[in-house]
Amino acid sequence: MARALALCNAWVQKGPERALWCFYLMDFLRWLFDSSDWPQRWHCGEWSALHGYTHIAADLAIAGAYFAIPVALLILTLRRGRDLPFPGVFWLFCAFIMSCGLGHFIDAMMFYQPSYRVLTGVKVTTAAVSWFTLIALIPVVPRALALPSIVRANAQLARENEARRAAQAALRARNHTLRQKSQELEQFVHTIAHDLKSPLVTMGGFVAIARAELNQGRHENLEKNLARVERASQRLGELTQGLLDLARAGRALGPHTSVDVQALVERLAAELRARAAGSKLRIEITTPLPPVPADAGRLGAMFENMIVNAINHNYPDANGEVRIGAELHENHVHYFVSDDGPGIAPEHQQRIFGLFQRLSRNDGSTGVGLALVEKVARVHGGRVWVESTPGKGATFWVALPRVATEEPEAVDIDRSDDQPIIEAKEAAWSKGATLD
Amino acid sequence: MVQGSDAGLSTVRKLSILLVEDNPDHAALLRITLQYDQRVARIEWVCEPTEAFERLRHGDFDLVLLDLDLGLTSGFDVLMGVKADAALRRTPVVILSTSDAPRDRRRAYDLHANSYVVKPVDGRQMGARLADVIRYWAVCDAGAALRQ
Repeated sequence: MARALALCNAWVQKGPERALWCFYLMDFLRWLFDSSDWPQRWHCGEWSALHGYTHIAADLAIAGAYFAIPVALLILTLRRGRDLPFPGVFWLFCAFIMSCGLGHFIDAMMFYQPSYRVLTGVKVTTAAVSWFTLIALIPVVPRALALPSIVRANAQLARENEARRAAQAALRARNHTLRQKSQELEQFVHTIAHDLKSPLVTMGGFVAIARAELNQGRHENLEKNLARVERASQRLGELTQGLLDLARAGRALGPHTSVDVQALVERLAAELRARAAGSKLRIEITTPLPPVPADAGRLGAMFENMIVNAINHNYPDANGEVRIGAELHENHVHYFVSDDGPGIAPEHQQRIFGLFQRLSRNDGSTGVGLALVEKVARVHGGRVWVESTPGKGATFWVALPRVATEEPEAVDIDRSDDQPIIEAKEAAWSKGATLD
Repeated sequence: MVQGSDAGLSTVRKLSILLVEDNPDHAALLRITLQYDQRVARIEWVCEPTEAFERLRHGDFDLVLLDLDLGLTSGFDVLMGVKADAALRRTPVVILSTSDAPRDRRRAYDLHANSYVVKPVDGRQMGARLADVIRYWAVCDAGAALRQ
């Protein structure tokens, strides 16, 4: 303080005109703060002590709050590290509310120091700042209202993120299904190319041999060779029919109804017993078969193929038995069909469900039945497996969900408009095309 | 005498052939087609991969004709086994398959098949195609000397 006074003194000492300016200033301030023309507010009218102090306290409280508001706003904004939206209006608002606070503070002082000129000056300033603030606010308000609240924006973002994640998961699932389908298609084309050609090679070969022998006037092998051609053409017919059945089994499912598996299998067993009449084979239902939601037609085809497979693989002359039953699990029903046949070695248990895979050429099957069983189970959201010890028969299991699931298999890719899916589909076809 | 030491290589040999084929009709077709071929000494036919190894170890074969579709086991397993066996791997293995899929051909050559022949659907081509195979391994293949 003493240093400030010394500086002031030094400044004044530099010239007589400065002393004069100083004098004018002091004079103005003295005039400004002069209160001799007015009485203290306590003496202006009749104030009770309670009324007066309440008035003073209220003014001071308002002033305190008005000073605190811009400080609090500034601290909170800066601490969050956010940029100020509309900085000009923000600072104008600070000045406006500070000068309002100053006005209330001086109003309170009027009870002791009635410097009404200072009060007037502050009020004029407040009025000016208020109007400036108003004018500055007019263009800003619509934009400020357009700012979404942070909370709303965050919620919106969270919703969008969630939707995006779900879409990505769905896309991944679909891509997986497509990759699977594309592999399946490739395998399918490969299998058809291989297995359908086999009888054709036989037919073409023996027709050529028969013709060559006829040209030589030899007839002794004709009957035998024609029989081979006939068998091959029958095999080709069976394979074609099997492929058609399999294609039908994989098509979009009909509506799921609760299928009475017990009644279904009893009917099938009766039919198949009649067909196998004369053989010693028995077909027994060993446990109750619980109902399951499914496409009834497909499920019938599935059980028929399982039972026929078991009949075909029992030793024909022994007292073989086909047993059909079920186990109830938490989410699935596990149905089984078991036989007393030769069984399947562990290394073949996975491949046995593949198209045209047969244990031996003479087992009387086309190699389509178990592929069809696998397909029907899969389109119902289930799965198949086999338990077997070679020499001790085999048990084929099908697990089907107790509550119908929407299976990605049922997605109709032809109607999908998702770009990646179409690309993947084209890739699958072009892959298939290179097989030629 | 121009041939000199080459004389042995250019002589027509008669081949002992092992046919590994589980389709009896195809086996019969191949045997009937080859029955009058002058370059074939004998054809032995087996269905099973295990049987094939058994015969290969004990018989003396000049050529293996191998089908790829042997029920649940694949002809590739036989091919792999032959080529992994130091005593057998110089015996030429010719794949005879109905499949002309690139991935089968690729896999066969990756497993060191000596040739890959597709069984023709047109019966009239079968004789010519098999005759070419036999002629090559009986006449052209100088590698046969390695197996003497």
